[in-house]
Amino acid sequence: MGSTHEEIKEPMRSIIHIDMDAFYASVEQRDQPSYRDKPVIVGADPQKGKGRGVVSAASYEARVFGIHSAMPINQAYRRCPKGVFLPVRMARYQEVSSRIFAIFHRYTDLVEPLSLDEAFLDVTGSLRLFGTAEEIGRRIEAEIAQEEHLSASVGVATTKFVAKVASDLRKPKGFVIVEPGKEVEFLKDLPVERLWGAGPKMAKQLHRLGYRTIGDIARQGQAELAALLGQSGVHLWELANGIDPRPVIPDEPAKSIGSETTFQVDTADPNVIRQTLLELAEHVGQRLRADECFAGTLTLKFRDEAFRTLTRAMAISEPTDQAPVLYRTALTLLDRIPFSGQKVRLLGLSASHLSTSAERQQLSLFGETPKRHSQLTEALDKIRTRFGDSAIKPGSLFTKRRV
Amino acid sequence: MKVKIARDELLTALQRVQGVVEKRNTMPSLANVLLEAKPEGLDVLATDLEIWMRGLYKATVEEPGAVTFSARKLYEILREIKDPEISILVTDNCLVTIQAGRSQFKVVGLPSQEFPVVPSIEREGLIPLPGSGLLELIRKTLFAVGDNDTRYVLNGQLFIVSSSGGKPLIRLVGTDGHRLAVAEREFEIQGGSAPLPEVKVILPRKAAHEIQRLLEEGGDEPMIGFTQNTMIFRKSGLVLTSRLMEGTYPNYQQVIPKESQKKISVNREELEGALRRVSVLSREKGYAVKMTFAPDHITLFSSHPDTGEATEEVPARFNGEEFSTGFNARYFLDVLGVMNGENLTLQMEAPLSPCLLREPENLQFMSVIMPVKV
Repeated sequence: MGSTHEEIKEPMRSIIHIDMDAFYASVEQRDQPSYRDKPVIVGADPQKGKGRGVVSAASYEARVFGIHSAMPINQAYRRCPKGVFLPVRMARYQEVSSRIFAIFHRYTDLVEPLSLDEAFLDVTGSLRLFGTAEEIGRRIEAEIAQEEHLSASVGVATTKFVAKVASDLRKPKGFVIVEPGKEVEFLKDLPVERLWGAGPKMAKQLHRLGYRTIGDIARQGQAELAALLGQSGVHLWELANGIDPRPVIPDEPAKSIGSETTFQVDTADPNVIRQTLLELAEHVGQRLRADECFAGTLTLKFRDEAFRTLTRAMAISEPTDQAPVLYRTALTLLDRIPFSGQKVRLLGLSASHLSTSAERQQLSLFGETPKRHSQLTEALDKIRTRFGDSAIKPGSLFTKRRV
Repeated sequence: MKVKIARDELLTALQRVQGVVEKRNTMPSLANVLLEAKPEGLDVLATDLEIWMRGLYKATVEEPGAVTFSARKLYEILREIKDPEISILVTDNCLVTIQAGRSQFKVVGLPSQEFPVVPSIEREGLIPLPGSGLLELIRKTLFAVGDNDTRYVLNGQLFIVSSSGGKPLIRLVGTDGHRLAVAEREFEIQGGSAPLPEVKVILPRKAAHEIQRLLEEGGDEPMIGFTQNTMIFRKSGLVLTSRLMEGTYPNYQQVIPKESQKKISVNREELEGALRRVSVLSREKGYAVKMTFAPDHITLFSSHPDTGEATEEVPARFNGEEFSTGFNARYFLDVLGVMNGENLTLQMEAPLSPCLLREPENLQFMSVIMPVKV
């Protein structure tokens, strides 16, 4: 490693970004033919416009009404009261997602999931086996359509950033290739908001400085941007010039698994709070089991009516994937929240310090290590995977309330 | 209220209560200390509503009264002051003026009524105890007590006083469900011949820790007593009161392996050093170390996919068939750290059974560690 001033040329990479089109909503439309061509909104219960959660996904038919994910559900309802409003069937989407990821893995081991429906693939090492990056992208797109009857948008480029921008450009069913060396040309007319790291605040600042397009930034001197915006200026300049050396990191194991609920009406009712924690514990437990891991720490998130958010965490002495243990721990954590009768707006549970069963296991003196998969839990999980989360649940959770 | 007090005297008082005051700010007054000026001196009190620590300190009280304010701030002020004597003046609006030489601090306090009320306790039945003996028992078992464990009672130390076997005996037990430590000691009752009560209570971890700190100061022999749900610990002008924990302590005696011939003898310092070295490479993996017991040595081995592996042989004697198992090295190091003897014995029947650690020179201490599946 000499101290040469010459730029070290990385070998050129071929990166594909694949993003499923309106994934949750598309899965619903596929599973239930009567929903096809209709505006489908997956998310919280709209309660005829009084619901309080948010939209998780909207079909393209629903987007015509201006509905998009993360929009409050009551607003979505006002825009399209005739829409098909459906609850989130996470287990179902996870199942479909794992089959789609299996398709990705036919072409490369370097698959970096960004979410259930989005991933980067580095196919540099696969070119000799399967043809050009474009050919690989086309084959994956076709296999998803053939095997899962779902559509995806694909971006092919030499870096992660450009590939992602490319896949997003012609959604749905987009397929955009950016040839090596054409990155700056490709980016130059896009608005600065497209840059990673340019959130609303940064975008505003860029506008004030007179930068509208990515090209405006690319043409500027790097030193000048650094002087204006510090480290983030350097970062934006690099992206604008198609420089993004970040590697595709395959399948990082999840650092935490969590679930949270916003109440339809803020509540101080201890029964409702406990029931909600039980629901969350059931859900987190199910996801831990699906991922075959055990939680070593549980965190409770508590947001009150004044939007103050408090969290309390504790170690679980025997790492667990069982809802009753998570629920008991959650109750202990709830006791630690300074609670003076204020109402609760949101509750969340998150499991972290995850370990897999393959890792070394500390044995216990008093032999209360819970059996890894009780037959009951296993049966419940099967039912939920097939018929959705609300198909079966503890008796105490059968109320009129729906979360 | 107006008081003159030696800086060192008040600093000692504040050092003692630092561990008691509540750090999580749930109730503001729990972060405070209560100062009560009485004709006989200055009473300093702190609590977290589980433990109460009260001490009477030598002071010249010119005007009795009481005030409560931040224990942390008073401690920080005292640490910086170099003058040997300070005066504390509290005016009607609870403004506290601390004068030390040429420095003056004005701190806003609260009326003493804002401080939680001290539960009244009976002072009957205090047992005089040998302080250094008790300190040793706490030191040998507190490390194994659970910390923030979901099984509530494991966050406490089992405290047993018994005279059923003839001589009075104190036994302390700590366990977090993975390891267990039991230490006991016979003692003479000084003075009175009142019959000794049979005691079996669970002391919160924090209380045991505070008692340990007070005993480490040396000085007078302590006295200890129990009521239905509190423990009272008295030592030279200090009173520590703690709530006892409710619940059923696990049957620890059941998990202690029966004495057998499958013993491994090893030098304590040699094993300790080797464990420290080998576990360097498995820190990120729960300090997992593989141990192989052979007739004349123990082989320690650890590995990590990202860093590498380490191995070391420690001379030992074992009259059984060679086998391997795994341990969290930290659990071993904790036990070795509280042992005093030159040698120790490990007794283990099979790779997944509990391991009993004892010292041939001190049979009043034992520890059990559960292995990890390798």
